[in-house]
Amino acid sequence: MLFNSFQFLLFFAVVFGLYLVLPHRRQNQMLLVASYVFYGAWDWRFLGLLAASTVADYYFARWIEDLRTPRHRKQLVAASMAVNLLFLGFFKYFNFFVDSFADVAGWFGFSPHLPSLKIILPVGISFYTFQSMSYVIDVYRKRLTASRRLADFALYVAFFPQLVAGPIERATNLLTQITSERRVSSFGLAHGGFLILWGYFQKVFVADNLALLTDHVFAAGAHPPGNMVLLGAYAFFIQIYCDFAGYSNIARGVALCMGFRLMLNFNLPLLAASPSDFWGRWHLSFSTWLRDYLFTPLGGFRKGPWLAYRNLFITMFLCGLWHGAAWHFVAWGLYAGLTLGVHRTLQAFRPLAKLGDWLVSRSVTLVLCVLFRFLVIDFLSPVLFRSTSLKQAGHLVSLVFQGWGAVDFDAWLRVFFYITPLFVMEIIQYRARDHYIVLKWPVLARVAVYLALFYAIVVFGMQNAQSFIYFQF
Amino acid sequence: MRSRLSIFSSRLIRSGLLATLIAVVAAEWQFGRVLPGHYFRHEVDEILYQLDHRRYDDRILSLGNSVGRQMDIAIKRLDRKMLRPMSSNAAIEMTGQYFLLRRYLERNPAPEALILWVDDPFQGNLRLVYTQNYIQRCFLRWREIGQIAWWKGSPTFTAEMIAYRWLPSFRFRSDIQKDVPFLGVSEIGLAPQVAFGNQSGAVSSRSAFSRWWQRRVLGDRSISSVAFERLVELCQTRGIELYLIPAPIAESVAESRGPMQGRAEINERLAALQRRFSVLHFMPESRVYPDDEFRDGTHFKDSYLSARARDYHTLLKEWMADDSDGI
Repeated sequence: MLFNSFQFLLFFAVVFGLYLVLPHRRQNQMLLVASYVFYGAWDWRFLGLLAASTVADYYFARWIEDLRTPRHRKQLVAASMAVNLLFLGFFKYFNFFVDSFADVAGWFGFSPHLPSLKIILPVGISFYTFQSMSYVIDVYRKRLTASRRLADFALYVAFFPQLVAGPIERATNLLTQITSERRVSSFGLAHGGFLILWGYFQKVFVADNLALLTDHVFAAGAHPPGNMVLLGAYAFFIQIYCDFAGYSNIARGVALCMGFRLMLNFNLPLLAASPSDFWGRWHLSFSTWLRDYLFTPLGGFRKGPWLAYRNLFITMFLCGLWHGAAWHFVAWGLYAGLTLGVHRTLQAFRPLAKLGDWLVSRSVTLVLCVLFRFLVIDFLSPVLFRSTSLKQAGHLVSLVFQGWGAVDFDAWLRVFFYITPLFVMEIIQYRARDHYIVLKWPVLARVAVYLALFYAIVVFGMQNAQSFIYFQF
Repeated sequence: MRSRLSIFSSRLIRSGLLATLIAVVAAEWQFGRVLPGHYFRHEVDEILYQLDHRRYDDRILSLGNSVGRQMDIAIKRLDRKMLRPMSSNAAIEMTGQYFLLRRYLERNPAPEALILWVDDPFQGNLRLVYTQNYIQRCFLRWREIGQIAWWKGSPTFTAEMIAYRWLPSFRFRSDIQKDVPFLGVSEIGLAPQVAFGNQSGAVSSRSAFSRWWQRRVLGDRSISSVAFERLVELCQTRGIELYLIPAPIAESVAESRGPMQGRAEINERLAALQRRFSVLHFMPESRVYPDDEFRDGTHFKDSYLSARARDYHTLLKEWMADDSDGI
């Protein structure tokens, strides 16, 4: 059930109607049933997997809390991680590891006959597995007390707005809201309504329309001219941002209408001035997860420069692998690690930045940094991410250096038509440091924005519900 | 803790959402007056607009598929007063044909005869990829929406129809986009899913609820079967003789189908219906013509059209003059 479908609109209308009339405990029960219906609408066969993962982590957390011996607690948290990663590893990475092993064996002259299974990837498995794991780890670290109600915990894992593509919530935020009473307020409806409208705009107006171009550029066997590769790469960068941020905003808006506050997942990353700034704004629920449960436990930046770089690369390697069981995703993660590492090294040369500020104004420096990051540093990221193999990525990059080629002005114009309103709004939000700045404008201006967004969605949005890219992760 | 009724506070009213809603309603009301007469994406749009704005008093009305439309126009060229051509497309299935007849009879006197160009009147469950464009976008009277909702049992399908009814800008979105030159919408796809490669059987899936509902409401009959029975019943009530003609086919198509494949069953069902409704007449077999007369195996080439129209013109004249049940 896609957010951008009539099926979801009807589903949410029913859920919200029931939510308004039920008391707190019944609201939670109804939301749990609705979440399982929502998930089962994709493939009911994976409901068992979701339930098994939920029950396992619920009892692991309770046992961990009840145990006193640190060694036993550690063994149990390791067992919980093993169960979660086993589910994830089997469904997502089994064939990848088997194929990679066969390739490596082939280099040494062996040709092992290894099994290759036709495994369907359960939608959202990476998201709810990581969410569930963070809960067990937090209980182990004694930052959280284990939930004593299976239904509440099950709702935390399966809460439908963010079940299949995040934000990857923390129990400290979402579970506490589940257990306490919430209220549907005019504040929540106005802010949630804006988030939903903005999310739909990002998804169906920007992302889905840009997809028509990027699908063409990144099609298997395509040989586009250099300028189209560049346009396709930048367009895909914006497409995937709007696709994913659109989903997150709709999820947050839907939750907010019901009185839940989900975490901010994207903080205007297109306007980031450096790789570090970018990762501090992009997919925050995941990047902070990696920081808290992987990078920092590995030692973070605390144990000297070389170990810091090692930690950075391990983290970004796994970040790439999380996105997909393919080497081009791994390369994408490593490239992100490289840009972060280089940026960290260059940060030592502060005088350079100060000289820049002295020569030109600070705001001009900022704009130049944003443009440099977007146009130069992040050209390779979308190519690695969107290609289906490293070979295709290499081929597309080589096309850029083979010549500019004939320019399709209509294609460029189309891209600008779809991205200009996005950038205008985001620059306004960025300058105001407020995602809800529109809600503070005079009522006529607000109505004008709402109308513009509404008609952009209705008239120019893609007609047929396109799946969200991040569902596959 | 504040009451849940706080959602009805003046803050929400001041948020601009209500004003936006009012502005959308006003804009859509205006669009609803202008756009349907401005954009005609296909023949069904055009026919429906004409039925709403013109009056007819014809002896024979013709409905049916695209081959029928081709023949209608050619026959009309031969004999201007013979019939009122309103054949459109097989994509509207019998449901659409039934609604077209209903709309025709709303404002016009009943014709003496109705020609229906259709191969299998019992086939169709509004699941073709073209259904969205030919049914959901077009037949938007509340009665039609309600009827389809009852037969189809799909809340999503119904919600889409209501959205098309309430939001003319949504209904004509592709046409509006076409007016923006650099968007590159030169041709409007009649079935957008096809462009995205979703041609698996050219039908959309049905939810478990929809399947259960249709079994409950329609039994083992298809939606087209029910609509066809309604259409025949309507003809019987209004004294309209109904002539059912399967589209002519190419020799190679006839050979590939094999002798009487599926046709015998259709004819049996038609004969059963004929026993209940005396106005029903049907041609049991498609006429077969050489392959080179067809441009795509289904539609005639322009050069052969007038000759074949003459055949059917004669056939219809003889048939209508004859008292027997079929030919």
